[in-house]
Amino acid sequence: MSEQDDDKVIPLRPPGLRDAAAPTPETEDAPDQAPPPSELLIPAVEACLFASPGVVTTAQLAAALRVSEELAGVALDALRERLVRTGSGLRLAPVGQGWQLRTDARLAPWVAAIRGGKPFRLSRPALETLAIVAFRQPVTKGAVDDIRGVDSGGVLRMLLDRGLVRMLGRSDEPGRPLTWGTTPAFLELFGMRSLADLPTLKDLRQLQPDDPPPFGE
Amino acid sequence: MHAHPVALTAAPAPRPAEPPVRIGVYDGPLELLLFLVRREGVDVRDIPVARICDAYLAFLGDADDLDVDRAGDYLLMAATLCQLKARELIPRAPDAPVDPDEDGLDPKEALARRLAEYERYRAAAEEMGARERLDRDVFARPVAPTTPEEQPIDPVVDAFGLLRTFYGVLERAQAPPPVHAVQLERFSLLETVRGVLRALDDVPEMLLSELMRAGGGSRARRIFTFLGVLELARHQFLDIVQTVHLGAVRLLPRVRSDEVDLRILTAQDEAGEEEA
Repeated sequence: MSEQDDDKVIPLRPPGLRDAAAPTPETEDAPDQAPPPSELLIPAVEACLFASPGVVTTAQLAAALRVSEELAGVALDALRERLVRTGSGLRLAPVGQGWQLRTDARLAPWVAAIRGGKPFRLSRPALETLAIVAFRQPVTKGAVDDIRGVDSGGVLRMLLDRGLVRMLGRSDEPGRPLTWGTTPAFLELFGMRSLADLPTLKDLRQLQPDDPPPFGE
Repeated sequence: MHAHPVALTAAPAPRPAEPPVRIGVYDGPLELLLFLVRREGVDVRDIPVARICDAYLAFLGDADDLDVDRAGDYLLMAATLCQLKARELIPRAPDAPVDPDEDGLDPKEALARRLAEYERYRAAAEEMGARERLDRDVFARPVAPTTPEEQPIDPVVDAFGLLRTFYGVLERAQAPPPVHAVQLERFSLLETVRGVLRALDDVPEMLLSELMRAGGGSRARRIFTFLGVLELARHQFLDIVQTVHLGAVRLLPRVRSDEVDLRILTAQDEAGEEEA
């Protein structure tokens, strides 16, 4: 970056050198665009994230800005830190495969007020079902029912309608029941990078008799 | 509800100090059981069966809002508890082996495991519920996608372009009258659906009109393509989005064609035929 700062003539990259793996429709019209000057790199990342409707991957950012993914990653980290340091109302959230500007959770009451509408509600049965599907996927409805001790069909359908779970295929069990798993929208809802961000489940086998009882209240 | 074995509930410990509880609050027998076990302040792995069984039955006996559909689950749990209690009441030599159930597990151990398993997912659900959640705790910019068809059509057409179009119209007007021969075409919904998903594999989205054109062919084929799209949407394999009234209808795939077992569709199709 630094050697480009002083250059008045920034070498144009031939369009063929762009990252072919992540073409961005926004840049189709200006294939000869140069990367932003270094002092504008972090603002450019911020602006691109602001102007994008959803989650943006590092590769998409790199392609739009004409910089390497590595540099885009550095700029993202810097932006993340800068938002916190400068007391912005926005936070850079790692979500699914990419990044998204989201409001600071401390501001929720006021942002919710201006947004209007009902807050996103998930009942406890819905959360339970979602947790079981998330941890056990691909999982059949029967298995979910067994764990919860109650029919989960209605809850599962609601989660399907909300786009939080999807059918993955069929199990090899008798009757070939459908199997279920979570969607990318599930990760977005809970602000998770991947399923690895799920809370850790205490392993049943690790429960030793001398453990304190699992319910501590 | 009042048919529970009275002999086994001879001493249901009344707990006036507890707040009155209604069964409708509990989502299934496991949750109720967990609540009772917690109330007794004992470990799920070492349930005092007799006490818990009594409490459970007393609870069911008091419940006046137990709906018939859900009663079965609660009664099954009650029966299981009674069975466990009965086993404990039968005198047995201290070193006699417990007779296992069909899965080779001590039935009490099996129940304790189920309860512990349920409890840990419950804990996980609680933890997930406390996470910062989009549109509750944190907010992103609302999505307002632009649709390609809303862009104004470039009105610049040269004279030759007009002429070419005119000749095209003339040519079609002079074409021989169409022959009306009806040919039966056979389609498979599975194949159509697979084709639609494949067409969407390498693009983030596609206009419905584009897909219809790409499919080409007869009116019947188009109808099938359309049905295929509806079917895929019904199964959440793609989203159908229209942002403005009478605007472009866009299809956004949620899965790749090789990611899903499309036989789901046909299987459901057979089952759903009566509805149609």
